[in-house]
Parts: sequence; C-alpha cells; structure tokens
Amino acid sequence: MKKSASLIIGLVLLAAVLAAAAVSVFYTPYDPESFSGAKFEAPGTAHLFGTDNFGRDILSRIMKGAGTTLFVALTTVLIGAALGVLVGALTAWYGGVVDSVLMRINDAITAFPSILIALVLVSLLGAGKPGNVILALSIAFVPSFSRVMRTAFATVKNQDYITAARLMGVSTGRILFVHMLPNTLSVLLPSMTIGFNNAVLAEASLSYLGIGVAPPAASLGLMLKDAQSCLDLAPWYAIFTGGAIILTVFAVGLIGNGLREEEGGG
Amino acid sequence: MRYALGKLGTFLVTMFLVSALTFVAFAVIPGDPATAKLGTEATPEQLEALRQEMGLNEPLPVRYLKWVAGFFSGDLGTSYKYNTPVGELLGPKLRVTLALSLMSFFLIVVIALPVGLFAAGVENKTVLGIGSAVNQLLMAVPPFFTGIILTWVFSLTLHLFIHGDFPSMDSNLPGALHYLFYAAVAIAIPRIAMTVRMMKSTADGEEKKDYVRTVYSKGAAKSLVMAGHILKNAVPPIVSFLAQTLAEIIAASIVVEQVFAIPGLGRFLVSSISGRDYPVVEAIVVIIAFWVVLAGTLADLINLAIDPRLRKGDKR
Amino acid sequence: MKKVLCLALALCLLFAVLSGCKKTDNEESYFTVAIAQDLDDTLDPHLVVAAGTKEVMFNVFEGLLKPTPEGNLVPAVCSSYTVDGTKYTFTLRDGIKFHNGRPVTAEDVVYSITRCRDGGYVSAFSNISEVKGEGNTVTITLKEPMVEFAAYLTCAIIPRDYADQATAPIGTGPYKFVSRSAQENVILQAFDDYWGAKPKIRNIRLRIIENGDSLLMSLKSGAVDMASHLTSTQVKGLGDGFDIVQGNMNLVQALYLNNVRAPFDDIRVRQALSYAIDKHEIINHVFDGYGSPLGSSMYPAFSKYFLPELTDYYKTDVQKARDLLKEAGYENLSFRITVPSNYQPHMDTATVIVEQLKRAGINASIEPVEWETWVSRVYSGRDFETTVVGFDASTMTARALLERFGSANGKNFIGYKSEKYDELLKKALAEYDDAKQTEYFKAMERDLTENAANVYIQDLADLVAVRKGVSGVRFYPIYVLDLSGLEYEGK
Repeated sequence: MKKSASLIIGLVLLAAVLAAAAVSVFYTPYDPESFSGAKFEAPGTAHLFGTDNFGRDILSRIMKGAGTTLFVALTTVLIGAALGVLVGALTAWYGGVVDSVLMRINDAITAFPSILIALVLVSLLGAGKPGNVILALSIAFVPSFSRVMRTAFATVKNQDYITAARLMGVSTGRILFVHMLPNTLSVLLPSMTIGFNNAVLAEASLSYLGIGVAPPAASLGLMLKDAQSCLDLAPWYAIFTGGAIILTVFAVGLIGNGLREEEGGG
Repeated sequence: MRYALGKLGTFLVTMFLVSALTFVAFAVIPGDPATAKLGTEATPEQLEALRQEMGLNEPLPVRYLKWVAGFFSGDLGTSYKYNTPVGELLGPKLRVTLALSLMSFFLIVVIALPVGLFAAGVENKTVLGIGSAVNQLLMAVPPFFTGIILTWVFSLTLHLFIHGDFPSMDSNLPGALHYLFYAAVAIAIPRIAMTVRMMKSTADGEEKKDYVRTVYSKGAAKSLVMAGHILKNAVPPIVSFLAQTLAEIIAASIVVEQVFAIPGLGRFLVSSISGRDYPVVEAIVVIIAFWVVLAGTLADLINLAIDPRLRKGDKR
Repeated sequence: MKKVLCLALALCLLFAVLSGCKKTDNEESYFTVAIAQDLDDTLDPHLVVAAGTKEVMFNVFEGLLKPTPEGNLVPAVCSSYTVDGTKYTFTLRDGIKFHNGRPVTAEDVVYSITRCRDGGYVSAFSNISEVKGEGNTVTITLKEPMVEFAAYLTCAIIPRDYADQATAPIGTGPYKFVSRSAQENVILQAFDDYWGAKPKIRNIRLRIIENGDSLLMSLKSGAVDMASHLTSTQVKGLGDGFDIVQGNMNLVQALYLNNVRAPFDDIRVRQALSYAIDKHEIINHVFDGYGSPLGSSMYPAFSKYFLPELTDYYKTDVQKARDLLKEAGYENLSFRITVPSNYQPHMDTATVIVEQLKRAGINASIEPVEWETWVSRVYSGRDFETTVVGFDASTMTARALLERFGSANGKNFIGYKSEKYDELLKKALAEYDDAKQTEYFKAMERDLTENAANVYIQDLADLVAVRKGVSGVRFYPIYVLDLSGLEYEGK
C-alpha cells in the first residue's frame, strides 16, 4: 500500500517541531529566560531570530515554547475528543433520557464562558500552570466533539451491518467502539485536527486575556501576544513566532489528511 | 407543538444548569462584588457593611432563588458596579454582538459552503496541495492577530475605517455595521477555513464508502454522485458543525471585541467577571445559553428535514 | 461553483464599501481621550472608590480647596479661609454655581462635610466636632488640632437636594458630566458658569479602551487625541503626530514582602532581596530609562518628604545577597511573586526580578492573578509571599502613604511591625508643628528602608501622548487627569 505523501510530510514536519521541543530540554542557544542580548536586536549571527522586548533570544524561546504549546494542544484535544466520543456514542445509541441529559449538559458547557471555567480552575489549582490551561480547555472542548460525534454515530447506527450485529447479539460496547467508531473516523479525525488548531488558538487567546501560561515561561501563544504589541519595533518577533505556530498546526493538519487517506485505502 | 414544548423545556434546563453553575463559580473564585468595588482603600467594617447592603451575606441557594424569582418576573437585577438595571445596560451591547455574530456567520456560510463544495470535487493533487496549505495557514492565525493585521491594512493604511471610533448604532447604523464588518472578518477567517476542511473531508469520507463506489461503477457521472448521494449523507455533520460554529462565534467575539474596542457583550462579560458583577454575568450567560440552544434547534430541524431517518434515533 | 463564490465575495465587498460611504457629519466635534478603566463605579464623589473613576471625576468636582500641580492647596468653592487653632473659617466664593445652575450655599457645604463625617467616607472628619453655615461663611471646628487637615478639604461639595449623584453627578468643577455609556464612553462638557479659568476645549469624550494594542491603533488611526499611562514601548511605536509629555504616576512600585511569613520575617532575607534586585536595571531595561528609582514608601512629587539618599541604600551586590541568605540559612530560597496580570508594567518588572534573583541563586516564580483576586486574596486575605504592585496616595499627605505600615493599621497587608515606626507614627499624627511632623515622617521612611520592609523599585513614569497642536497637560502629585488646561495651540 502506498503511503500518503501528506502523512509523510506531516510526520516529518511534526517530528521537526517535536525534535526542536525535545532538544530544548537539554540545549537551547541561550537560556530562554535570561536577557542574553539587547532589547529588540534584529536577527543576526549572535541571535538567529533576534531578541524580544526583554532582550531574550527568540529562537531559544520558540524551541521551549513549541514544546509547551504542543503539549497543551495535544493533551487538550485527546481529552476533549475521548470524552466527546463517549458522549456522542452514548447519546446517539440510547437516545431518550440519556440523550437529553447529556446534551443539556453539553449546551450548558457551550454557553458557560470558557474564561469563567479557566478562572475557577485557576483559583482552585493555582495560576499560570499549563495543567490548568489544559483542563479548562478540555472541558470547553468536549461539546464541540460530542455534538459532531452524536450526529456521526446516529448516521452510522441506521446502517444495515449495525442492525445485523445487534441482532447477532454483539455487546453494545463492542458495537459502539469496534464496529461504529472506525466508521466515524472520517468525521472524528478532521474534528481532531480542527480541535488541535482551536486549542492552539485558545491557548493564545487565554494568554491574551492574561490567564494562560505564566511568564517568564514561554508558550507560542504568550509570545505572539507579546509580539503583536511591538509589531513596528520588532516585526521579526511576530514573524518567527507566527511561523512556528503555523508550522505546527500545518504539520498536524497534514497528518490528519494523510490518516484519512490511509484509512480510506487511497 | 410537542417539538416546541420540548425545546422550551430544553432551554429552561440548559438555562438552569448554566445559571446555577455560574453562581457556584462565583462562590469558588476569590473576591466578591464588595471587595471588587472597594479595592485597596477598604476597611473590614466598610466591606462588611457593603456586603450587608448587597445581600451577599445570605446563603448561596437563597441568593440564587431570589435571582430566579426576579428573572421570571422580568427583573434581571441591578449591576453592582454601574448601579443601573442590567436590562438597560445590556440592551445596546446585545445589539452590537448580535450584529457582529450574524455578520461573521453570514460570511462563514456564504464563503465556506461554495468553497467547500468546490474543494470536494477537486481531484488535482497540486491544486489540492496548495488549497490545503492556504487553508491551514488561515486556520492557524489567532483572531486577535488577524484583527491587528486587518487594522493595519484597512484602518492605518487604506483609512477605510477609524480603529477605535465605533459609531453609535442608533445614530449611524451603516457606519457601525461597516466597523463591525472588519471584526466579523477576523472572527470568520479561521472558521471559514475549518468549515471548508470539515466539508472536504466529510465528502471525501463519503466518497470512499461502498455505496458510492457502487454508483460509480454503474457509470454515473461524478457530479451527479456528488449532488445526489454524497451530499445527502454529508449534510448532517456539516449542519451540526455550522450550528456549533454559530454557538462558538460568541466566544470568539470576546477577544475580537477587545482588539477592535467594540462595546459588545463579550467585552462586557470579561469586565463583569473581573468586577464580580454577577447579575450582569448571569444575564449574559443566559443570553448565550439561549443562543446555543437556538443554534442546536436549528441544526436539528434542518437535519430532520433532510434525513427523516434521524428521527427514529431520536425517539428510541 | 466559482460563480457563486465570486458573487458572494462581490456582495461582501459591496456591503463593506456601501456602508463605509455614508458618514453622518452632524456630530459635534469632540476631543477624545482614551482611558483604560471604565467609570464603572458609582459616580457619587463621596462613595466612589475606583481610582480610575476618581481620576476623571477630578474635572467635575471640587472641594472647599483644590490641589495644584505644584502640590499646594488653593481655595476653590471658598474664596478664602482662616485657621485659628482648631477653628477653620471659610468664605464662600461669590456667584459660584453647581452644574445645574443653582448657586452654592453654606448649607450645601455643611451637608457635604457632614455627610462625609457621618458616613465615615473621610476618616479624618471624625475629628470634626462642629460644622456651621451662616450666610456665606462656613466654620469647621475640630476636636483636636490636625496639621494636615486642609488636605482632606478637597472632599467634593455637592448640592444637598439632589438624589442622582450616583449616575448623573453634579458638582462645581470646570467640566460638567453629560452622559455615560458602559464600556463605551463618558461625555464631559465645559461648564459655562465655572468660577475660574474656563476650559478651552468644550466637548470631551472619554473612550474606554482597555487593551493596550487597540489603544495604540486608535491613536494612530486618529480616533483618539490623547492617552495617558502609556508604556515606553508604546510611545516608541507611536511615530510622529503626537507629543509625548512625561510626568510621574505618583505611586510606590515595590516587591512587597509578607513580613509575617517565613522566610520574609527574617530581616536578613529581606535585605538579601534588596541587594539582589537592581532597580536601575529594571528601569533601564524594561522602561527605557523612564521612571524614578525609590528607596522607601515615598515618591519625589512629595518633595517635602522625599529622601533621595534612601534610593541606593542597598546598592546592588549579588555576593552580599548570597552571604546574607547563607547566614540566615536560606541558601536555596524559592518563592512566588503574585502579580495582577492586567498591569503590564508590574508583570514586566516581575519578569526582570525573577531573572535578577536567579543570579543570586534565588528561584522565584510568577503567579499572575486577576486584579479582583489580588485584592481579595493578597490584599484583604494577606495570603501571599511577595507581590509586585504600586500604591498611591489618596490625599495629598505623607500620611496617606505611610500610615498603612503602622502595625495596627487595617491596610497593613504586608504585616510590617516595628515598634519604632509605631512610635514615630503616633508622634507624627499628634504633632501640630509642620516642620517637626515632617521630620517624624522622614524618620518613618528611614525605618522602612533600614528594615527592608519591601524591595522598593520605582515611581513609574506617566507617559502621555497628545496629538500635535494641543498643549496644556498638567501633572499632579496625586492620581488625577486634569483636562481643564488643554488647549489647541494658535487658537
């Protein structure tokens, strides 16, 4: 079977981002939090990507920040998708009361401002830790997955082979997650790539509102927020940081595409 | 009729959940309207007196029930910060956010649906590759950043609008809508990209299914297969996705309203949360809940109309 | 398919262009000033507590006396006054009117002063035994002599028979309040019957823009004519078209230490931090040199009380810091700095502090919190290790800055305890002689520095951008925004 090109490219790009993040644990050109140069130094030999508003090396911070952002976004999507699939499967399968109750909770979470969720968690668990950002975002992300998955499961449910399986006495859990789940992948996978994308954006937005990852630690969202206030003085700050975000999201998007092509046997 | 009653029930339950959760949230986060109001000059005695005056010393359930009672008698309470009835404060903000949200949703639907359909039919690898790359790019830029870029281009360079000078919707409606347009674009761009992607992959997924192959093998033209079979099966997830988008636009407006200095609900929500002004927060949360339920209901209705089979699933 | 797309795009563009064409010109011209905080408090001048609201309402209300940029007090609602021990006699200004056109009477003054005393709104007024109004004279008699009593007479005079102060306030100031639209704007208009120099700019619109980037864009786009409290980075990005005027924020920014919590209850640890943190580097590195370094809880605008020699009492010395920590037994010190996250200057300062402390082997981390959380948890709850904030003076007295560190004071959130300090405070408050009182206050400042109560950093610079062609920005020793002096040049 021919491997999909986008899967390969995506994996290579993601591996590059992951590698940069992994290397940053042992080595960065400079300490990402120390003031290693003058304020707003343009990119050059000393600082490949230039320096930021504190004179910190942008390359080093992007390496560290990519790690934080990848971790936050991937965990958020995995938790959100897992819960979303569960809720979607249950509501579609059982309908009735289960459906009503779970979907009402779903609606409530959608209506509940995610910054309020973030604030509650932050005040319960302490501010500025990536863990809280992940928790707040995962909770906020469940409804979008469960709503889409509910429709997907409902569509598959009425197909003949499922009815057949049911008549044969296959257990509900097996039907849901062994027979039905693979057939919803065409909906789940793009939702997850979009979810990943949303998580990266949401992390940035939380930073923008001042309740994301705490400085001086680096995350791409926090850096982009800082970068946009000095767009005139140091355009390279926004360009490199934005570039890193786009590269990351792009890689994951390609992998999503590729997986779907594989799954479809293309 | 039964459907309408059911939906009303749905709305009430959702509203109960969010409003109760909001009250609980306010009990959990540090600070109350009294500390928020008095700040660093307060003495403990002043704080106590103000809490008494605001009725904050009553137990949480009592305060919640009072709020519910007030809500059903049409009284949303009085803002702790502005000393003004909540309804009066929210009216103008609601109009602004409604206009902004509908405008971005309109943009999303009008642009994403045709582009998505077009993309679903494209087979050329190069075109697909470039399209997908552009799509990824648009998806990856946070709305607040898009907002800054749009301002740079359309306000500071082309002078098409004056950033920071939002006209009043009463005296200058066209001007206000024009201003909101740019904010709507900032909200819409990543979501258009997401919708296109969603549509493309759903259509692709359907295309690979056996029944479509069967139709192909019988020699049906590609466009016919697209229109007739794939669409029918691909529509429900897309409609759900759009409904979800409609619900989520409000959340996106929180940040974009900050960037464009637009006096809307989202910005007001943020400042009211920090001011612990919970009569205002409660009211906004209820409005959003209504919005979410409305979006969900619309999606259900459309999906039922297209694919009556779904009804069975609902009734089980 | 392409046709549909083109049509959609065309429609959108058409919509954008069409709606952009219509502009209404019937609006009166406004001078627009951006403010970061909405006037989201009551507007009643006696009940208001929000600093941002007081800052703006300075233009609407006046007391018997009002402050000048130089830090003096001059007659406002009264035209002259005499002090005879505990008895203050005020002669009301001839023909002075409220914004609703009604003349100010002695009864209004008595009402305003009594309301503040009885409501506890001005704590110093509890010292008043009697307020009497007769004709155009008001006499206030104190229980005990009080040197700085005049400073409290800036308390607003309001009409006794008006009920809507909270939402539609009426005062005697150079500008009258016209309207407020939450989160949107506040409109002020020059008061035609103002007793003093009439403001040159008639209509002022205060626009609420919380977001720093949006503010910068609004200045550039022409939506906003003036903004204060800008950062040095913002000013650099502003370009031509604006004059930058520099004043001081008049606040004491410091790394405030919880003096009752270990290890900060050990003076050696506090001193070590003072040696490890380089305030000059903070000012140069983050604030591009704008800002006045401080060494105690007093800023330069109060020139009478300010002691410049305290600024470098602890000259940065990393080795000394390490030695002191070793001596105190805290070699691997680590702690949290709680910072209100919506105040970028404080966040930036904390970021540099963390880095500086690393050099001395101290591991500090930043905990960003919302302002309201800060007030309730750090300030009221005193649940913190260290925090970076700034404190200002609510009235023009040294007492407003220094009183809070008395061990019995309810606002002493750092839990500072020094017997010497309490003793000095008592003497200062009981002192009738101004010169002697000043000496006591100075001794208190020294006490704070010697005990390293906090790591004092700076009085932040207040950078104001005004559109070119407009002049008359005035700075005061307290936190106010005086709009009445603004004028278009050459007019």
